[in-house]
Amino acid sequence: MKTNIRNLSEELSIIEERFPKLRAVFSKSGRLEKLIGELDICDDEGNYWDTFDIKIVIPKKFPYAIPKVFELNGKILRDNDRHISEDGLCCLDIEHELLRLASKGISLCDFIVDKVYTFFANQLFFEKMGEYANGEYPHGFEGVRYFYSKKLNLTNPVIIIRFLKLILKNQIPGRNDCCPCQSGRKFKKCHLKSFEYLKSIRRERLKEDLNGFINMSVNT
Amino acid sequence: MEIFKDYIKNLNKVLDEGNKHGRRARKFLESGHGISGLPTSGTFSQEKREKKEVQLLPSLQEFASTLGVSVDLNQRLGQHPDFANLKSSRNVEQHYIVSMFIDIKGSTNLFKKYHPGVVQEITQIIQEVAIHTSLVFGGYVHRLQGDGLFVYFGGKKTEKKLAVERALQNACVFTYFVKNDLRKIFNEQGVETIYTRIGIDFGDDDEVLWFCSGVGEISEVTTCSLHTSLASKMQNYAESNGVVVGENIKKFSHPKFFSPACNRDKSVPRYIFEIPDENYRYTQYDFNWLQYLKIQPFIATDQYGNIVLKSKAAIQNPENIRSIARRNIPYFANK
Ligand SMILES: [Zn+2]
Repeated sequence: MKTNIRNLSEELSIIEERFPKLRAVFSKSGRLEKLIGELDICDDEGNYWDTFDIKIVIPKKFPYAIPKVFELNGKILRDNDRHISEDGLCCLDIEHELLRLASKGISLCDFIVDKVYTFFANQLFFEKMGEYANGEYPHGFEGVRYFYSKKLNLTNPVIIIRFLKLILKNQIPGRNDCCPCQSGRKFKKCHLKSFEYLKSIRRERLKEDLNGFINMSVNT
Repeated sequence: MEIFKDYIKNLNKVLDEGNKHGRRARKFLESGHGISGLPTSGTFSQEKREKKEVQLLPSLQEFASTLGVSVDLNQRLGQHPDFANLKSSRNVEQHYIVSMFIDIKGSTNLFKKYHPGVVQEITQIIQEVAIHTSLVFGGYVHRLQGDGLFVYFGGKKTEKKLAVERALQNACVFTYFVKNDLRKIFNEQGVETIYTRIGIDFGDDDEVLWFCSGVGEISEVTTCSLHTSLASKMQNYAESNGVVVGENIKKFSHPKFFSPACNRDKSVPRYIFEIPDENYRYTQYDFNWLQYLKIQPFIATDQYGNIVLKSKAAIQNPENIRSIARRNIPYFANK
């Protein structure tokens, strides 16, 4: 698989410089198992906000699988609206975005900067403002629908179901064919990017989405 | 760093004043007006010089309170309070100590641009920062050397490990000040910057003799120890804004912060001291002070790894964190 990620020891030395209070823990066989320690959050103006005790668990299939991030000392209220589970597992993003990252190979340092740091910064923002800086996904399947609409420009469940079936059967339209959304435009000028995005996501996830959208159209 | 804000303010006042008067401004000295409004810095007038205060400036005082330390401002040179009983006596006492030499270099360049009176005020403020910072970290300033200092850490009421830790904290906070805050000010003025070099070593109870050196009132309570001598010697091997420590220091800390000084520069000897016949070799190490500073409980780092002070008074304006926060859209799966 094509990847441009740095090797792990390089990554760890960058992480040590940027997030010096996170400590790498290795298994007996020398595999990186987790990063554990403190994550300080500071803003753009150089003001200190807060520190979280966290654990980043590295999956065996890393960098092609998503690390799990836990907040350890209960600083964030355990509440669905705070996007954190009872045991402190943080819901950093919708799974699709994370799976797409993983499909390309995850850089651990970028992951901390882009996904972990921003999550905790957003939690602090929420504490001050009572809302997230850039909205939030609705819980459960509604969140998936929101994602399809916002990120992939797909709102109609009938069309989404058609798309997912095509991808799962590996039937990808040609660039100059008509777009399967029946807009009348060429595929390359319409939903090609959305298709490519979905193609990069694990099939199990797409099947789950397909069932979700089928259930939804049956129920309505 | 935020904790030196008030010292920096004073320094900028002195530099502004110095720029106005130029290098040969004799009237500056004659008028005796000095630079007004500086609470701690010396001025040319005798009257103000006498009033020179030992107090920490507010920004550093606030830092000391966050650390929960009370600062002993009644220290006197050459008379470590824990060994003051040795003054004017012939007794000796064995007790561990951490010795630290802080050298401040490059002030000669200031004469190219400023009147000696201004140079004196500048070096005075920098030395004041060095002294005050040492006090905050529980150091005892034993002697002034040129623009620099000789400081002890530890004593009868302090654990060895803590004494070493405080010395290392002092070294990294002061070096950060010189390397970043001072550099910034001097760059703005187009002056070649000042830098520091620090040497630190630890001598254990059986390696340090405390005694009163000198005669009568011309005396000081001081140490006779290989490791005090080595600290001073190692300082000379430190690079600009570098800290070199003996292997005794390394033993009390995490090895990842130390690398043999010879790795940096082949011309630096690996052993600062050796007795080949006894197979005794003592290694000098470069101290990675920046990395050490980053893990201190009073320090935070931002997402790029820059140093930020964990200040209770930090302004938390949501607008300043919005741009980072908005890159996150949280989701909860209900699974
Ligand atoms: Zn389309």
